[in-house]
Amino acid sequence: MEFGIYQLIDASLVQQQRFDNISNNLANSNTNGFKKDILTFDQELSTVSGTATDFGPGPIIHTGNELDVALEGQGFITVQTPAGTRYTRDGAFRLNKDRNLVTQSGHIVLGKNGPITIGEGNLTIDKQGQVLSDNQLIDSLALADFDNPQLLRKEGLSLYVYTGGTEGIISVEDTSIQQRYLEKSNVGATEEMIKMIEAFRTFESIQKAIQSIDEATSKMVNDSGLLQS
Amino acid sequence: MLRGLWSAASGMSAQKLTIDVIANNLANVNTSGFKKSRADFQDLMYQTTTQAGSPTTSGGTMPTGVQIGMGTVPAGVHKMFSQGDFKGTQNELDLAIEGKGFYKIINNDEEVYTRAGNFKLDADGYVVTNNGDKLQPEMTIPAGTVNISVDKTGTVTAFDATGQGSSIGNIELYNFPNPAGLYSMGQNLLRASDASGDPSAGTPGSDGLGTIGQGFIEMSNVDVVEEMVSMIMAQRAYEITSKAIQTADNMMQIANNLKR
Repeated sequence: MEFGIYQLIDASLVQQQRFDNISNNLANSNTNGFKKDILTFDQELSTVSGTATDFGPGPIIHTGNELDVALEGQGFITVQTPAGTRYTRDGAFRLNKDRNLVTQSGHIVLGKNGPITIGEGNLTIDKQGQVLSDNQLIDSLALADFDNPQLLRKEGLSLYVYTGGTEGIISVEDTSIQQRYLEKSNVGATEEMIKMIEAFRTFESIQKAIQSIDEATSKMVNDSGLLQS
Repeated sequence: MLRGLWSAASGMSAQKLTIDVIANNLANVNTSGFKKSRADFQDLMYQTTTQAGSPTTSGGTMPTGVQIGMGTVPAGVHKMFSQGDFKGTQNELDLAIEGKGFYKIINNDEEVYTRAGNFKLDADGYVVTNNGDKLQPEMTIPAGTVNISVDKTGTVTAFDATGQGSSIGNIELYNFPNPAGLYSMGQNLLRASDASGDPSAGTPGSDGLGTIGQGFIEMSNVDVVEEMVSMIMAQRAYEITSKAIQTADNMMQIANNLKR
């Protein structure tokens, strides 16, 4: 049998994976702080070598809600989960019944001194990430950045887990916190649509190539050796 | 089957939820004391097909793994307790809360909370809501009252025809550690929940509570322009994820047509 057909099957599986990835990006086009994924390929374009996350900034929009914060610049908000420390860019916070600052999933948002408990007064989060209640400093948001952000693995629910060593965790510089703003998803609809069309058409032409090989094989099996009358 | 099909479907149902929330906000644009909601989303779990750091056939290690996401999931529909606009009504029992806090009323023998301060009097002189639920602590306006005055701190004074004033009680406000966790019952009513924490009572104007504005009602805090923009965003996102579903369908059709 033809070897070509197996390469083509691999190639069509790659296009399916590209499509799965684009589909996930599109589904998260309205997820706060979402960062799109990009598939990387090895030279022959026949296998996927990895997914990389594009940590480019998403648009920052005004919401007017005092518990919304957006990170302008690099860095992540540190979150405490039952499974350990996680990082997020989703700054749509809530309060729990103990008036701790938590994420939408109820995970504690960490300050430099642990969980942040908000008083009854007016809440201000300034550009440096200091949390103030009626102008009284409570704590500062614990922000973290990484030497190699690609070592962050997405865990779902807008959380990242860092898979590198602690020496790779660096302090955040030149990042300002915007209270009453949210960072939206950095997925660009046009770009993803074009990528989807590209993946689809490549998939289509691979299938045509499989059909051609099938036809050639069929001719060889059924017609060769027949005497022309 | 294609994973992308289900990711796209999760995107469509997420946008549908956004539209549901926006539609409810818009429908309540003239409901006094109404607080708008916002749907927020998170990404779903990821399927790791290749682990980062796993060895490759050439003896190296994979610098990045392959992770394919599974779409989006609603993280919550969040009530936004920003102040609504005030509308002057000249009605002496329209009491707007200027700042934080809720009125407590009894509805079907249950303590519930509301910010809708358009009170009325019932046949027995009790101060009640539009549904006839009594304001707590209970307060009766004596017969022969011509005029009622409520000051900023909630002290209620009734004046009779001779201009003689008598204090008949104090309105209390209640606040919660996490008001966004209150359970919406409809009819402008909210119920305490595990997430909201326990209510604490106080005099209006103290302990971070708001003050009472007599003769005003608090309008809905829904901003029509903002809702319209969110609606456009949601509709377009719905459209684009539906295209992904169509594409998935076409890809599967092509694969099916391989075998003739």
